[in-house]
Parts: sequence; C-alpha cells; structure tokens
Amino acid sequence: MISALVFIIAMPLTVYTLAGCLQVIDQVDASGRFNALLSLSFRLLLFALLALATPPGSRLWILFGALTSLFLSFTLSFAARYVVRSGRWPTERIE
Amino acid sequence: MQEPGAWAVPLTDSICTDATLTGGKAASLAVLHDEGLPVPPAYVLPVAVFNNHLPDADPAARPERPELAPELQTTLSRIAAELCESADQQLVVRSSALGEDGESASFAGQNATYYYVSADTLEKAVVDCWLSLWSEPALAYRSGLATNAPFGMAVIVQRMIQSERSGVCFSTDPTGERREHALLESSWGLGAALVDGRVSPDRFWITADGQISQRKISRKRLKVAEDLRDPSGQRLEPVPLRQQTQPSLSDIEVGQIADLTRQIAERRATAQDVEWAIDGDELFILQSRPITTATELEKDSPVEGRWVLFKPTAENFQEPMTPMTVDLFRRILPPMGRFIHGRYYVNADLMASLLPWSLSDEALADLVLMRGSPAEQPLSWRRVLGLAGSFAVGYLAAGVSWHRTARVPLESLAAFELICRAALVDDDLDALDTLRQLVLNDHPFRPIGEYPIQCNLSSIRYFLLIEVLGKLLERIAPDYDRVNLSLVLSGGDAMLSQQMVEGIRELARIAAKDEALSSQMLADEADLQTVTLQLGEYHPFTSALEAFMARFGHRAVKEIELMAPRWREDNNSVLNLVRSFLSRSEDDDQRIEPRGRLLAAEDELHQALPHRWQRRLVDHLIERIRFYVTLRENTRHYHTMAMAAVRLKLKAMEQRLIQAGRLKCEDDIFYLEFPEAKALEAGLTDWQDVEGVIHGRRLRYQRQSLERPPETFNIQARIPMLMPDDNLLVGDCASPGVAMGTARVILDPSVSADLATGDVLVAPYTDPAWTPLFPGAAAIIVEVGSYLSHAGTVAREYGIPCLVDVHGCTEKIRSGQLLKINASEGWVEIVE
Repeated sequence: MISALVFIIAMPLTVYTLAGCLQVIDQVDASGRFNALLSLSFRLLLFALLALATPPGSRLWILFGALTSLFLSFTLSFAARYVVRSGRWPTERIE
Repeated sequence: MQEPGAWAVPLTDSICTDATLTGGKAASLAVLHDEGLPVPPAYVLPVAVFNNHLPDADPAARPERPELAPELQTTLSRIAAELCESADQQLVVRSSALGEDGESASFAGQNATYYYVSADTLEKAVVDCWLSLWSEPALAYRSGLATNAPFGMAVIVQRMIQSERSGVCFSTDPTGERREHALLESSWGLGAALVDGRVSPDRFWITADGQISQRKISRKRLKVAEDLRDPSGQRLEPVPLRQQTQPSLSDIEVGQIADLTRQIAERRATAQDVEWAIDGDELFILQSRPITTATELEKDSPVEGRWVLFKPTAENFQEPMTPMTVDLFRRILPPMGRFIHGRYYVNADLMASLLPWSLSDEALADLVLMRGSPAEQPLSWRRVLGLAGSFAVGYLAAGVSWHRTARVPLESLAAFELICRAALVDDDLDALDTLRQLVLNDHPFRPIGEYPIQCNLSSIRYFLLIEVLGKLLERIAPDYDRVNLSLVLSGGDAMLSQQMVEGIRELARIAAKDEALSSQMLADEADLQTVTLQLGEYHPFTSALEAFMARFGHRAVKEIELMAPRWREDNNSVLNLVRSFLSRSEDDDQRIEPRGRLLAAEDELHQALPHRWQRRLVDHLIERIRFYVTLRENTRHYHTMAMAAVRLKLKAMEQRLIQAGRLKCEDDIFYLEFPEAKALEAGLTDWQDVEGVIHGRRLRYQRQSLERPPETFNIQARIPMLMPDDNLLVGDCASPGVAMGTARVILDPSVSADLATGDVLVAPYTDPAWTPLFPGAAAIIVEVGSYLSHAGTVAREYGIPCLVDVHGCTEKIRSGQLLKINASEGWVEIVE
C-alpha cells in the first residue's frame, strides 16, 4: 500500500522537478537562473522529504515512479506531437 | 447548312425580345432598352447564326472550331465600325444562351464574356463565345440543373463602357439575412472583378423607402482596368491608395441605382440581380437577371454531426478563412474540430465527453461559446473518475510545459523572431514546412520561450485563477465590490499591445510637430509611402516609422488569415491609426490615466482585507493573473510572426507561379489548397486545371463572407435575450463600468479609424490591430467576444467599460447616435 502510494506521489513530483530543471535553461539572465535553481532545490527537497518519510523497503518505488513518469512524460508528449506533426490525421473540412 | 434569317440584329429590333431566337440575356437587355433604361448600344447574332456554324452540335462533346461565313465576317466588320466611334473604343462580347438568365437558371459566370475586344479580335471572340458552351463549368452547370431548354447560343456584341465605377445591385439581399433590403455592391473600374469575386466591394443595404440602412466600405485594393491596350497585360491594376478606402458611390447614386433595380424587379415580378456601370456621370444598365441559387461549385456542403463555433477565432474575425489558410491549418491542428464553410468548429460530442457535468445541449453549446458557467449543473461522479484518469495522462504529457511556462521570462519570447527569420531564408522549407517548423517543432531541451504557441496555450489558466480569486474574495471579503477587480487584474506596461499603442502615439506626436506633415495626413491626401519618400530617410517621422514597422510590421487586421496583408506590406492601417491620434488634442491624450485608477482600485482591495496573510495570498494570485494575461497577449505578438512568415512563403510561391503563367492574379493562390499549389509549381497541372476551381471557391468565399457564421450545427444554443425595447441591447460584461458617448461604428480599422476621444467604439470583433483605437474610447461594444477575448483583455488594461456578445450591435447602432452603457450590468441604451 505504501509502495503504491509513494509510486503515485513520485510521478507528479518528477514532472514538477523535471520542469524545475528545464526552467533553468529557460532563463535569460543570472538572477533568473538563480531563482530557477532556488525553485529546483525546493522541489528536490520535496523528493528528499518523500524519501525520508518512506520506509526503506519501499524507497525503490520512488525511483520506479520517477522512471515511469519520465518515460510516460516523454513518450506521451512526443506521441501527441507526432500525431499532429505527421499530418496523417488532418482536421476534416466541409466546403 | 441553313442560312439564318439575319446575321445580326440591333438590340432595338423587336425580334431581340424573343428569348427563343436571341437567348435569355439578349432578350432581357432588349426589354430593358424598350422600357427606356440606359442600355449600351449592341447587336445580337441570333441563335440561328450559331446553328448555321455549328449544325447538329452535340451538347456533350466539344466540336471543332468553326470557320466564320464570309457574310458574317462582313457583318461583324460593319458592326465594329458602327459601335466603335473612335479608335480607342472597345467592344464586349457576351453569351446569350438559350435558357440563360431564366428564373430557374442564371448560368451566371458559366458562359464567357469577353472584354476589351477590338475590331481585329471580334471574330475570334464570337467563336470563343460559342465554344464556351462546352467549357467544363458550363457543362457541369447544365448537367447539374438537368435543364430541358433547347441547346444553342446567341451572341451580344456591345459597346464597352469605360466604367469608372461598376457593380451589381440585388433587389433583395440574396444571402437571406435581410430579405426586405436591396443589396448594392460597388467598386472601382469594371464590374468583371466583382463577378469574379476578386475585389471586396463596398456594400450598401437599402430599405424599401430608399434609405441606406447599413454600409460597409471595403478596402478596394485592385480594380479591373478600364482600358487594356496590351492584351497580355494584367487585367487587374492597383487602386491608388487614397481611393482604396473611399466609398465608390455617393448616397444619391446608391439611391438611384437601388430605385432602378426595384423598378426592374417590380416589372419582372421577380427578384433581380442588375449589373450596372457608371462612365463619367452616366449610368448604364449592363444586364438584369433573376436571382437564382448558387452553382454546384459555390454551394455549401451539408453538415453532419454536432459542432459549435470555436469562439476564440470568431472573436478575431468573422469572415471565413480562405481555402489555403484552412488547408494549412488543418494539417497542424489536433483532430478535435472541423473546418465548416471556412470557420473552425469544435466537436460538441467530444467536448461533452470531456466535461465532468451532464449538460443539456443548450448548456453545452453555451459553455463552448463561453457564455455560461456550468458550475450550477450537477457533477456526474462517474465522469469525474474518468476525467481524473484523463487528467493524469494529460499531466504526464503536458505537465512539464505547463510548469515551465509559469516562470518563462517575457523577454525570452523575442528569440522566436530569429527562428522565424531563419525559416524565411531557408529555401528548403515550403509554406507548410515553415508552419510546422514554427508551430510544432518544439524541443524539450530548448528554452520554452522559443515556442510562443505553447506559452500561449498554457497562459489560458489565468481564467481559472480569476475564478479562484473571485471565490476567495467572496469568502474573505464579502463586502468588496468585485466589479473593480477587473481593473486590478490588468497586465501592465510589459504588454506589447500597449507598447504598440505607444508606438502609434509617438508617431502621431512626431507628426504633430511638423505642421505640414500633420495637415497633409489629416487632409487624407497622403499614403505613408509617399509621405516618407517626401520626408527623406533622416526625418524623425521616417526613422520612427521604420522602427515601428521593424517591431510591429508583421501584425495585421485578421492576422490569422494568411491572405491578410501585413502592416509592413500595406501600411494604410497604420496611417489610419496615426491619423486617429493626430485628430485628438494633447489634452485629450492626457486625460487617459489608467494607472491612477489601477492604484486606487488596488488600495481599495487591500483595505477590504484585514489580515496580512489574506493580502499576501490575494496579491500573489493577482501577480500570477497579471503575468498570464501579459504572457497571453505577448505570445500572440510572436506567434503571429509565424503567420507572417508563412504568408511570405506563399507570396513567393505565387510570384513564381504568376511568372510561369500558371496563375494569373495576385491572391489567387489563397483559393487553392496547398497540394494543388504544389502540383501547379511542379508543372503537373496548369492554369486551365485550376481556373474553374479558383473561380468557384472565390465566389463561395465572397458569399460566405456576407453571411453571419452559424454558432452551432445540429445542436441548439441559447437564443440571445431579446429586449422588448428596440433601443436597448444586452451583452456580457468583459470590463465593468458605466459610460455615455457618441457611437462610432467601425467595421474595419484599415478602412476607417475615425474615433474621437470620448466616442463609443462599436465593432463586429477586435484583434490586436484594433488596440490603438482603445485609448480615448469612452466604452467598447463588440458583437462577438468573451471575457477572454482581445477586446475584453485590452479594455480592462485601459479601464474602459466593455460589453461583448452584443448581437446585432453594428447593424442596430449607427455612428453619431448617443449611447448610454452600463457594462457592469450588461446593457447599452440608444439614447438618441
């Protein structure tokens, strides 16, 4: 039960943290990057707290959750873009 | 071969009124002449002459080109000599087929009309006219109508009127929107452009008692030349800039033409479509025929399924999109909607399945049209569970972008300009590749600011945050008047649309310092190109204009439409806006002080919140909302650069096709679909293959432009509330407040932007190109819009009351009327 719970929590937390990482490259100046790093460290702290609160036997499920989330996140976003970009399913039109 | 009774008869001869001998069109002209109407002199070659030259012609198989009988050649020479009083005089050769211009079939545009015919080319034109009976459109039209009329054609040889102005007058509005009104269309030059649909004409709706109930002056960029010495030359020529936005008819002329048309219709006892032309001060009637239904090519296809108009597009312009724009967009949009008759509609059934409420058809349509909130509807828990799963998948797919855009620096969006420039100079990218590259080619490890469309989609969350803030204030500050909240939520100085307004204002300030320049601009005598050429490149106005165009030159009215010229190409819109600021005094300018009102509103809100944590929470929400509002406006500034880049690619392709002779006219490419244009470019097809298609689509586009788009198909939307009082109109509040002022109905800012300080702007819709009209307006009333629309967003920026979704406001309200507006309560009253 706890393993399932941490697995589920780790998934959105991974998305949130990955966004935090990428926010660093989105910035255009040093102060923006500093703030983005600060925000990222807060998200990593959440991960650390989750790990601390999880019994040692279930900690591996955090990793599974994170990996599943990363896999699904990239796969789904690339798949969604492929559907649109490929032009195989164009929006129909009625003249 | 049977000898005809006569090779040619003058139109004045009574035989011409017999449609079985001279075809429908000639008979109609002869009757008009008999009735004393001004018809240009003409001769008719009866149907017997056709039968003489093409005996036993098979209606389904094109015959060999016939040789003209020597007697006919002599007759034609005599006719040319008689009709051409001078060497410059030209002729027009028109078909008059049996059954043509009848009540059941007009054959409009199916058989040929040849303009600029000289004595030397008359024989060829007559034979071409006969053979046009076997043209593909004519064959398709005949088979579609299954007409039993006998087969044959007379030919009219008429003196060509060197028309300075021409057009068509319908005795009753053929779109069916205003049946009791006559509709008059008019433009500069020959009327062939109108018939072909190549020019957007001025339109006048005239009541039965001869009053003009509504007028729409269009931008008439092209006209058909009155004279064409070089037959290989372009038929279309540009209209001088000054003339483009001027009405092509005076009110008196409109009344005269409408009156003549009504007289003709009354005599025929059927609604008529009358073609007319004016040469100098002389009015001519060129033809009259019954109004019939559209041809197969122009008819709208039937619609299956349940569809609701996609409001965010309709809020920016109501005209249909051209076939090219539709075709390119449909290749990059997710398959969730459908383009119907040139407008984008969303799938109502799909929307219903995505919502957690079980909504009635009416409530669903209202929700998609952004008119109602479903909050009062009961939740369907089965759907909530299903949606939670969908939300989880959606979060995994798009959550990273969603979070990233929350902190995207606004200045990082500028990188997109460089990406657009790189795509423009890349010759390997065609228009579709460019669109895909600029809109879809995002990469997770590149800065998200390079993908303004993603940022734009994510920024829509401000609407949710506004709802949250509203609910929060309802709990913690129940006494606070939330009407003022809109003012507090405005985006601030970082908004590029505000900077655009400042740019126009600065141009006006510089122009005002140069007396000669400002009087020249105000006198409506200048176009910007002439002005800057006269001033020279070192004049402050020229430099400021260049700087403005470098920044905002990619913008346009109807900027989503790829056919719409950008400001850089056609700067008359900018001139109109500068002129609008010039006509206001500096004092008027200073009266616009939204900043002070904003600070006062913020102060009032803080006083309503007793605890510090409440203020901090509310301030945080406000900061986020302001950020997303600004992000939404600014991303639009950048993603329209993509549209401008795609347009440039298409225009370059069009130039190549025109040079190769595969296209004949500017903007014809927008009536093709992209694969059709590619096939033309590859030489797989030629002009003959696409001419009919372009013609039919252009006519359909013109007709659809006149029609108000249906809000739904096969699903009933709420009927807008009708007020018992004709002088009271209702709408939805997009920016609260109360105001009173003189109405100024503006249908297109590139045509007219005469708005004085304190006037009430009444518009069919708005997009960013309208923004410079906002400061100084007492209030804004828009026919199509929503809280999220551009009109609402910018009106809140300026603290101007704004009513949206005021149905029929541009028709019911007339410029000059005094209006009283209470946007907070959602009504406008026509006081006088």
